[in-house]
Amino acid sequence: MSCPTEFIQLMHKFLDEEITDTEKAKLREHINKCDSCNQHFQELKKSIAFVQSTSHIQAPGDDFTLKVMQNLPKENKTVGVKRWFSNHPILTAASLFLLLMTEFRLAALSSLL
Amino acid sequence: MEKIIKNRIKQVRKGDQSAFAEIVEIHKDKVFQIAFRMLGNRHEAEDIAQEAFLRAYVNIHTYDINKKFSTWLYRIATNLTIDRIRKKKPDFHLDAEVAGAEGLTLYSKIASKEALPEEQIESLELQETIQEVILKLPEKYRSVIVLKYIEELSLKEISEILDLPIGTVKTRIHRGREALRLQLRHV
Repeated sequence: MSCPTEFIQLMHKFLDEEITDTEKAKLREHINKCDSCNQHFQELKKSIAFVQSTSHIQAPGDDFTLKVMQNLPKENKTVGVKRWFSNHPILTAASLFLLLMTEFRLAALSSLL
Repeated sequence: MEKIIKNRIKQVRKGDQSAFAEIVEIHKDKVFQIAFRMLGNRHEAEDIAQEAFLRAYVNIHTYDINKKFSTWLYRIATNLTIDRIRKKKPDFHLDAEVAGAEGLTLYSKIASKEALPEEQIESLELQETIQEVILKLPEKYRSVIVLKYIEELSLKEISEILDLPIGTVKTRIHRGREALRLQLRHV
């Protein structure tokens, strides 16, 4: 293991897919003549392949989505009211009109008293 | 796909709760996987995944719709998982010696539990060994290794999820790989 750490760095650059062609040639040349670096490189690649081989084996339970949905906070009332108004624009306009008219009359009435 | 997700999010924001179900359906496996690989426990992983979706729903208005939704969601899930790991008491390891039984480790107990066809035993043991090795990694290496090799995310996404500079993510991945190599080379 007396090789400069530069070669280990190059191995990681290779694994990150960030190695340049020149660096790749340099790494390859070294690995071809250095058994311990070659072994190190193979071991790194093997470890990664092992970790990747365990992915996506376990899945959450079948009722997972249902459980999430049941635990969501209840839709708040103002959202419901707003949605009702935006779904019923004519009724909204009519009730707003009536409301304003009543206010107006009340105001007129109280100024008389 | 990203377009469908964003449309659903807009519906959720307008108050349509049912649109959230599709968002959960699309992301549940990945979110569960992050928690499961980092915690090694199915029950806890389901718990964390449930909590992650709940928080995503409650905070949906803080999500920036111009960014990738999964990055934001994985960030919630990863943070919850890391918090859980930090709160947990240090776990016992499978290769720790069983009290009162010299030389006997929990590995030998697992191995003798059930009779299975030989090939199945081998692959099951291998899966267990790999999972154990991942769980033995220090938390800061474990999270990057899981995000990189199990979730197959880019360095940029990992740096956004963990809120770390890309350089730090790279260093952690390099160290994580070396730690895995030392544990797995003789397997």
